[in-house]
Amino acid sequence: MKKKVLVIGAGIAGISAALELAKCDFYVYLLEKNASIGGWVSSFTCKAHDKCTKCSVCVAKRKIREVLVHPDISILTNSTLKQCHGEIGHFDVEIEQNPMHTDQELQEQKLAVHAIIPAIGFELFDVKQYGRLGYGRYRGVLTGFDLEKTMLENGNLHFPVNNTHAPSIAFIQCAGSRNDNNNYCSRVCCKYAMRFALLIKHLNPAVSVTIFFIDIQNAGKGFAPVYEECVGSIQFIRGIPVEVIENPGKRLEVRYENIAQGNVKRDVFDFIILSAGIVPRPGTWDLARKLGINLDEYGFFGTTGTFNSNDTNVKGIFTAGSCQGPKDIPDTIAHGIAAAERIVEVFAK
Amino acid sequence: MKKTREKTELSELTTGEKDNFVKNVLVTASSVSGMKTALEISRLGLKITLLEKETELQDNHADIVDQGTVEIRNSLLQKIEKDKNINVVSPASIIKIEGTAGNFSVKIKKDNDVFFQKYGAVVIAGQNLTETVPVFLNFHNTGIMSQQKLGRLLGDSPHTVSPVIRKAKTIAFVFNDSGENSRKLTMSGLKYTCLLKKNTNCEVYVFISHLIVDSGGMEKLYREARVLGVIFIKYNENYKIISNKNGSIGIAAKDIFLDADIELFCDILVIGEKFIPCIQEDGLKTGYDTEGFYQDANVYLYPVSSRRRGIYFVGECRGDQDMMRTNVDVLNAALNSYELLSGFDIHSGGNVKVESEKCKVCLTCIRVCPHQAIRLVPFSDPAQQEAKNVAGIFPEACYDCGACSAMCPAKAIDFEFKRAPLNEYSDEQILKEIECLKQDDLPVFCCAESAFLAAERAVEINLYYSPRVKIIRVPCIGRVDLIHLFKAFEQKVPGVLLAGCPEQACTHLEGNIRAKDRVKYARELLKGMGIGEERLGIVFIGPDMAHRFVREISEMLERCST
Repeated sequence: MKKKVLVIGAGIAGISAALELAKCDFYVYLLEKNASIGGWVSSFTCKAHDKCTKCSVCVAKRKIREVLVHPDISILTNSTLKQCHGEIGHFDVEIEQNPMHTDQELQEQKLAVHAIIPAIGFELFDVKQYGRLGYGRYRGVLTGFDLEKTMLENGNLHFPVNNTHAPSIAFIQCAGSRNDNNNYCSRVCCKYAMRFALLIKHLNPAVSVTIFFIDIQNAGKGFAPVYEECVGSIQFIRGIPVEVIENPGKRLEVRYENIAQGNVKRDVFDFIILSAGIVPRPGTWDLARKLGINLDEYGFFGTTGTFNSNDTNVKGIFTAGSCQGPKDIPDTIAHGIAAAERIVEVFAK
Repeated sequence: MKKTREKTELSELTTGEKDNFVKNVLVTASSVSGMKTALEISRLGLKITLLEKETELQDNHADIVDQGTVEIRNSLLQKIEKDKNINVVSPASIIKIEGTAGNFSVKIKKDNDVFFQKYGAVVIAGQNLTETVPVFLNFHNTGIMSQQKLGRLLGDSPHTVSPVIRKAKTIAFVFNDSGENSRKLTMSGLKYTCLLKKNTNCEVYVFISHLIVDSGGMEKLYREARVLGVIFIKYNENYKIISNKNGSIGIAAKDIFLDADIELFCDILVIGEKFIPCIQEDGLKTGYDTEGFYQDANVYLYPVSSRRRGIYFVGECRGDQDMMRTNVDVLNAALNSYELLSGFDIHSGGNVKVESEKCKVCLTCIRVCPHQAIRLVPFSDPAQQEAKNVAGIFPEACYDCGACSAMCPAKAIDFEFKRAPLNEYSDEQILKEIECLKQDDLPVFCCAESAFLAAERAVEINLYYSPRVKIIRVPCIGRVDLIHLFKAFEQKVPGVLLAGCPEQACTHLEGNIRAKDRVKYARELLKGMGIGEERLGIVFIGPDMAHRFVREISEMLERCST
């Protein structure tokens, strides 16, 4: 009789954990709220120019393909967790499966599992709250996620043909992170901004690329050469712009403080990419209540102790991925596998 | 049903592997991460040998991380003492690792002895060195010190602060001299500034160009430091260390916000040390990243794998990282070794075979193999009736890239699938596919992991490309032999294109680089034959880049038809 594990959320963290558990002779129920699995990653694109920039999207997509055909992983889409009782070794959970068609009824399913991995991921900060940055008002203002989707669908960003101006694009960092409410760094934005900057520059050499930043986060294995490459070809400006407005020529005017001279400067761009911060999913609180686990001060799932990455205050429940705090793809995969290890450790004999 | 059957077949394949594997793991210590790895693996029921360089278990830089680490280390030491699965060997170090996953033969140096020992898996944990900045040498007996020294002088509590620190009125910090991309040093630096502000009355300044805050809790710590009154000065370009006539030390930099050069004289200047990789043990043959740390910077190896199956890297030896990530690495390495030695790691490689009669023992394949899967094995040739050593591929370490097959001058190595009905990557099959080409066709050799997926995706999203393009799937473009290229030109095709993974992202580590070199060489030969060198192309395409794939092949077609 195989030990059973419930993984909540079929994003890349949940998938990594599920694959690893299934490998070690566990049976995994992979719960997904949406109709398709993969989460955010399935809309991301490879950001390599001629060189790889270590975004790891390819590794994540490979895992998605693997999980779809694994015999020991049962994927439950359109499903949410309704109730959960019990303790490590015998959790009784109730799953609610939403119907695919309106004429079908809501299905409920009861499962008995040995352990639970909540891996519900993150939500993007709603940059519409920053009205002054013009998101949702002007067509040229996109979030990093919009850019990922556009690049995946079209392979390139289409700049308007204009003989009077050179095409230009600006990235604005820290939209919704490192502020009073979200007093943390979202960890991924500086890196994807620099990767996209290099990719766009590679695809359209005439485009000038600017990045507005507070502090560039260039830590991480294999990332130092990417940053060095950026320093030569991309313009870095310290400080976050105050406002974005459309000028009569339908281009986007960015007003920012010129720190050195202490005055206001204006620059004109075709596209503005806002690096929207990572915030906890709205459902995090609700799930935490059902499972009885603690949240940290920002609303992510909390862990106990210092030298510990996955354990929650409930035995048998281990968090995985960015529902525990912002993480990039390699870290998310590693964190998912680490959660699986914690479970294997308890039940392996 | 079909899936289940496949699964059982796979497990049949690996049962033999599982039984032959040695069920113990070698872990190198000298850090908290090594000790923790040993404990985690022990809980999974495997035997561990913990190798320590120094005379007793310790952590090289527990004190620079922060005070909490010392407590963690002490509790780990107690647990290791009680654990029956862990055998501590000290002082000892690894000289060389021979063999393949499950059966490593590790050459260990202990005291003055050198001996071989068998292990199933090896975990290299947290080995790196710290180097104090060279400027120290020019300012002897002044107030410059490293973070490590400051940590020792500060001690654990307000009462243990050394008088040297108590006397100081102004203390300035530079977190990391080398590029400022160290999470660990920034974290410890921020903690020290807060401690100084709480426990002493000095003024604290921090000179920084980019503050790394992307680890958990760092932004909060940064805010706390500012609330406590630490002054952060962000500078452009570089800082300089200066001294005045009184002999006091100072720092000069260009402040961004004031747009002015500022000078600050202080009693103590704390400069974060540099983390440098420890490359004393060179016998691992596992590759390094651009900064010289262990583990190639290749996303397919992340988080802890190396180019040799069964050798894992944990913690600081992979590069500079924070405690949280190190803990994740520890768990990853523990699970990977458990999977390997318990037979759960279903390995699909090992479909490449050497025809021992043909082998001329030129050792080319042994040099080429990125995974160290080829060794010399004894072979007695029935025809010549003499025993000799020939190249043999060890399936438990082979990943089926075919680099050896393409390089073998005697054509003694070829694909031979155990399960697949169609031996797709064998020389015979590839040559057959080439023979089917018509005069106007453009053959594109596509790497199965990247360009082939891009081509598939192009069809999926309805991108048009010419029907003249004929895609030939290969496991890695490093598998494409000169013979394949010239055979294609023999069919009077207008050109040949190779499409593989982007640089530094080759699934088989070096396949794309080897292919690039081979294309360069083939172009020289083509020139000699009177064929334009532009007719042979190589492109690097990621798996998502359908648009780029279509653009590259249409450009190639255009180039060839003129």
